[in-house]
Amino acid sequence: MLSFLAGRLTMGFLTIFVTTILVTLLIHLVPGDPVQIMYAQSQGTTPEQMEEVRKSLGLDKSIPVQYAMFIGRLLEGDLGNTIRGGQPVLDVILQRLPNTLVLAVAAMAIAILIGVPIGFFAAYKQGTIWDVTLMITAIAGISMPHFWLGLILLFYFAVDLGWLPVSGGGPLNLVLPALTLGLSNAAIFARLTRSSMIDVLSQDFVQTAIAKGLPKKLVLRRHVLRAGLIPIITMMGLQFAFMMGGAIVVENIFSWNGVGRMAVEAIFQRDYPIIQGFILTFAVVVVFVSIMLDAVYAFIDPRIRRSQT
Amino acid sequence: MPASLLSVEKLSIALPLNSALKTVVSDLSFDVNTAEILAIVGESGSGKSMTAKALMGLLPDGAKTSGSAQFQGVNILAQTDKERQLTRGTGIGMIFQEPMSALNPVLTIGLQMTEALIVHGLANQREADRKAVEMLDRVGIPSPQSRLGQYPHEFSGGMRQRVMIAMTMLLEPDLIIADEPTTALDVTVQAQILDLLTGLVEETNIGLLLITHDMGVVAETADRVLVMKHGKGVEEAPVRELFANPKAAYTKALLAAVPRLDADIAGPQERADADAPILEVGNLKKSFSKKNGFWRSHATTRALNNVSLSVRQGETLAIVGESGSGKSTLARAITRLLTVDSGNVMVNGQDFLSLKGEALREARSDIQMIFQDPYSSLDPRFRIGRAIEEPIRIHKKIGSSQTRQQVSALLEQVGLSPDMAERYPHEFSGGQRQRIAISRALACSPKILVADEPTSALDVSIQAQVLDLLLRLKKELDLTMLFISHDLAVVGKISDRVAVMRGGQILELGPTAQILHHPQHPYTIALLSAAPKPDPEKSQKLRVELPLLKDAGPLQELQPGHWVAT
Repeated sequence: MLSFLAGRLTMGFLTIFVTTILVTLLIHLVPGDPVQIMYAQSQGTTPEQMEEVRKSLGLDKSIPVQYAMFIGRLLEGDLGNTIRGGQPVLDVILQRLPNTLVLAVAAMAIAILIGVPIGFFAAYKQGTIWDVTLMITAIAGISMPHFWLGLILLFYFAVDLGWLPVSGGGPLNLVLPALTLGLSNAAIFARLTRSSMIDVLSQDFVQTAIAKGLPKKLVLRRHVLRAGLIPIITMMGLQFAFMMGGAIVVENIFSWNGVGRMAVEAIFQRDYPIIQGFILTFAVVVVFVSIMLDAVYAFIDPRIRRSQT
Repeated sequence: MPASLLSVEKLSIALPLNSALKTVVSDLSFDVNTAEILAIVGESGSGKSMTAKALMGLLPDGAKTSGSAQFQGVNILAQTDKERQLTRGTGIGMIFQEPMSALNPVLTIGLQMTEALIVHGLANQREADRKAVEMLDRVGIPSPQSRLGQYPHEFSGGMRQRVMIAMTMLLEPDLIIADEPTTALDVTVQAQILDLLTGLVEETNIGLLLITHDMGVVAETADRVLVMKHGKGVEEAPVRELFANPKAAYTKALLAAVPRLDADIAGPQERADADAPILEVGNLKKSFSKKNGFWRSHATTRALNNVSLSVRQGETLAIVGESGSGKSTLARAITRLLTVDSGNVMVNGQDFLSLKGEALREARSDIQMIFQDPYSSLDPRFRIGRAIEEPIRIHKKIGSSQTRQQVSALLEQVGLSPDMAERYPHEFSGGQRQRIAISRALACSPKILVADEPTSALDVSIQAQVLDLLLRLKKELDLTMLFISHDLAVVGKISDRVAVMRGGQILELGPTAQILHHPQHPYTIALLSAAPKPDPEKSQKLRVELPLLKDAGPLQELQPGHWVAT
């Protein structure tokens, strides 16, 4: 199991390493001169000022040198300063990251708590009207874009009924964005759970359990659920990455003060250091979460946990 | 007069199929008595497994049954789910075919063994654990105390089937239904499991309903036999009577189709060009390393360890071995479906393993393969005409009307009609598909045919037909054949010479009659004694101990052409 985790850690570092390269190249991937584009809207910028910005971003050096500088600063925990305001990027991100993580975790919890039981029930009732209805609903849920579902929830619960605030940063404000993000992912979890459980239900060991005279409930809870959850846990890591992506959209709808909203603002303002920092942070979070889930997976599946070394 | 434990009367089973009901078992009646083994024998589609499922209440949703099954005075078919659950396991226990999938991979052996005891209120956890250890010991699991915390993947296939039997026995059922309990196991392990089951029946006076397709297993274990065909009982008789004097035509045909080890073996044909080897394999080595972790690799298994052999033009050499012996790896190495670590393969004097590009493609047409499972070796989306035509188009480059004629000729050659070319694989039975696979292999007129267990997925009557077909084709086309098999009786029917493999090495190599009737290597002797013989008069409980697996020394020639590893 240790070597399994060591392998995952190595892969994780490699992923982050590749991301640092992409992040450095990012500025140059946009056609045209990045600094000119940056100041395209503001009239009064002199060429000298632009040259200064270019220097401060290190854009006057060759790309390998830029990369070396970037990595050097990164190792010191320095992601550079924002162009508007000149604050350290790391501080800006760390200040807002908890908000995004809270949103993503809450949405994940909603997705699992709703999706897994529905999928399990649909699998158990496979082929019946229950199964069909639930799965059609799930497909509808997956097809629904975040911004649309978000707006509907916003109009209904916040504007019409006035139960929940439209925007802001309090705990009550978390409900609508988390629900928006959670519901569509619940649909994905429902489908995943259903197919995984149907797979397990057809396995011989389920027949063995019934033939032993175990009551149906125990067969489902102990034999089916446990074996069927293993593939779902592996999918959670991937799903969490999607959910972080979804958070960008949802944060903007509900003015939730997370890194997603910050990133969109930074993109409009061509604040490259923030964008770079944002992408890197995102990569680290996603890699970290998937390694954690791999550890959980390895712990639950004895075939991995009890392999030698 | 023995007491009747289970009395099945006019049992009919219908399964839902496309919103209609399809009858799979009709009017079946039989009795199982205490301390008795009743074997239900039949080919695929005979309804034998469905009968077992019906008795356990494991039929799929929507299935309908009629008739009655009196078990200890109660008609179990009329019971509610709840009533059934109470007698499952404790009244009737079941052992399944696949020990690899019949145990839950994520729960410990201990939990799986004891949970039913606790649910049925027969013991508390501590007592249940103690009983489980005792039972594991009884079924021959070494150091049983340490086993309860282990998971199924830490046991071999044979050991898992022992665990399965122990788990079933733990509930002290009065009747055990065993559905093909040894079909997934090697013959040497099969022998041990059958001995264990028959021993348990003798000791505990339970009844055993043994479901099998294997006449050898029937002869060695059963007291009485019920032969089934297409959902109906064909014949029922005590085992000796059935084998000595079968009454139904179907039983006679079934018994005639079973290959026998003691059958006469035709000697190898003498030929003028007998000396020219068409295939020479020298010092083949292949290791598989199981990847574990990211960089490091652990647990190297040597699938081929210095394998050398040569096959003469027109000869059939059988490679016999159990799972893990390396026989399939050898077949794949020779056909270059996998890359070996070292060694060489000479086909017609040409170094086959060093060929590249166009030369390799051309040489491949000389050596073709037939696979075990005709269900997965044909592309389900190709009409079979296209599947057979493909090698012709690649290798022969002839006009399309000529190609079509060739496909027709090939289909006729294997006993199918040319108009079947337009059909898809799913429209054919297993035996027909294997014929199609053979005609596809013959399409580019190969000199050598490598057949990897070509009949082991087939019913015994179909197997006999396919073997006859291969023998006929070999003669007509002067084919050289490498026949991979685990079944010594099948090998006796088809091969001129036999090589016995174990642990990636050849242990014995010689003329078929020599190997089957005068085996020299202890492993060959053990293998032959473990093979179930379809004759109750000759069935012997005395088995030969399996020698330990060790590195074998070089082969030595005991008699002309008969080589044995030292």
